Amino acid sequence: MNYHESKIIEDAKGGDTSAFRKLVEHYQPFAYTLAHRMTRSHDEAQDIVQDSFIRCWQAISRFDQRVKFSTWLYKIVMNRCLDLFKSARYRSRQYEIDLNVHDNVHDPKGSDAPLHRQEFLEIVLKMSEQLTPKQRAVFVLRDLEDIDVAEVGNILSMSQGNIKSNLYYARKKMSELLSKIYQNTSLHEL
Amino acid sequence: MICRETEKKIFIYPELSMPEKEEVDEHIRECKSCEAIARTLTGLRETLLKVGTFKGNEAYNSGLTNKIMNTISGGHVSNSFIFHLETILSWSLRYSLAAVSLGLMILLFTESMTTPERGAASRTEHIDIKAMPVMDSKEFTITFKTRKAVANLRTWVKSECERICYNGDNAVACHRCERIYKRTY
Repeated sequence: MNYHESKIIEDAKGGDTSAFRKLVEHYQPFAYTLAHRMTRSHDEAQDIVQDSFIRCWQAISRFDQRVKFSTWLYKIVMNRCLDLFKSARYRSRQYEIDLNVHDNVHDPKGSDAPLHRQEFLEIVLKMSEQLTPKQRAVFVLRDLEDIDVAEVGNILSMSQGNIKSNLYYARKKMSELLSKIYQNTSLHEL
Repeated sequence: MICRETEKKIFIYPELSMPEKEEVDEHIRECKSCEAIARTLTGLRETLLKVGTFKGNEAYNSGLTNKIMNTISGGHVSNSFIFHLETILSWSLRYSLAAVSLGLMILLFTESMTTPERGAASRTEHIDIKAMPVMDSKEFTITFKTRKAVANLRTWVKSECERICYNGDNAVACHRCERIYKRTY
């Protein structure tokens, strides 16, 4: 954390809303991307980001500046996402997705058009819905956001062993699912 | 190292320590099937990082920032201590408080239903209506239109006779007119 950000956080802790706005402006895209990759829903991601920043504001006076602000924020966002996965509303939506998951996936074997990166990412995220919430959280943070293992551990309050175990199952499942779709396509071509 | 052990480690290769990576590398050099798995996974990981790593401000939404700040600055949300109670109170404590409150409410409700005229009843409840000398007198039944009116029996009898010797849940006896007033609905 640099001096500038540290000063902004200090001001926000003192109740300065304009300082907090700077934090929101800086971190909102990261928080949104993370929430969207977890939920795959624009509306739910927006709700989670809004709620997470409000919780940040409510608790910022107790924020320990030895921890990175991004880690703290990601932790709040992730907890909100995991809460959402537990909700009955989300599970009923998930059931509908599970029924349609293979219908909507683009099949590259029948197409000459090169795969678009965004399209591939969409497919990966769709496939990741078949992972358990913890596996998905670890997979998104580590393999998509490229956050180091120690920080992932702090965000999810998990031991390194637990992270490795979840990563193993997540990657195994993802490689199985993706290899079914991209049998004849080299992933390096993307 | 056998293939099954290596395969597990290949999946978490980036997270392995240096000695573990060397061990896996050594096995891969001699094992074609494990080398193929490693190659596929390396490709997948590189591709995921390429497509996944966040790029700039593509996701920035000024509308969302304004919405958040309006909620905070609009006085709906405060970062003062009292608003931290939500985070201070653990869920188990919240459930306990809710259970205690519910219990108290049920207790109060039951009390009020069983003893609508608590004061009068507590004064006279030691009297046995059957042992009273006025029991051989006439019975008088009053029919009320509503349940609420039933609770007012004692008030009604008192206004009529002025002297009540017994006040129970279902009947009120009066010495002066030697009647037992029963509730019906």
